[in-house]
Amino acid sequence: MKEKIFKITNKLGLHARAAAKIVALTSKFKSKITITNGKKMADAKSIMKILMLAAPKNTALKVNANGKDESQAMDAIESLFINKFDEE
Amino acid sequence: MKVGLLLLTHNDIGSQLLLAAKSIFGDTPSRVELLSVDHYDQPNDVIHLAKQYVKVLDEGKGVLILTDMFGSTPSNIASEFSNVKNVEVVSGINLSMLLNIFNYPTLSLAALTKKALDGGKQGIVKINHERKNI
Repeated sequence: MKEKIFKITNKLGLHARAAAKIVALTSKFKSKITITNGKKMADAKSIMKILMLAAPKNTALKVNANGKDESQAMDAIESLFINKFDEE
Repeated sequence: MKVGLLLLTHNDIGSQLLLAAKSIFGDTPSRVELLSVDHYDQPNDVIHLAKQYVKVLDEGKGVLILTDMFGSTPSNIASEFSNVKNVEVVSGINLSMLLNIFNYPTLSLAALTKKALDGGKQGIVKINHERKNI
């Protein structure tokens, strides 16, 4: 299992388009992927569950990936967060 | 092969929700048709059109009709299809319902109908201080 913490650095936080980008990316992988904000954990392949995390800018999110392609999944997610969901 | 979607709503509700969902997802992963109902439309004419849309949209996995307020004319027209094989009807369309459907475009009609209901309900939240997302 892979686990990493990412900080949201884009101005709009984890809003709908960013969540949709996460879903589009994570759905390509077979691994089970979750995102946790404090006590709330979301399936990273569900846009509604991600939106319910209500994570604004500067929130630290924990991402877990578990499965055969967990390393590739985590790398891809890291790029998406570092690139601020290609927004800024 | 995917379930087809028909948005049967008052005026521009369907088209505007679709526009917003497209801007979020970047595309529509499912095939979608719009049917708007205005106060001067004759229900029988709309039912006739809706039947044609359903026929065109059904590629073999069925059609999910999303309408807005239960009991209103668009919803009453949509309810004409509630006993039709391979067609499901859900009222109360909102953006989160549409996004949850687009999230799972390859599901069966029954599973997608459940996603529509779940998504629609999940989007209705009393926003308190903890949930403030700015």
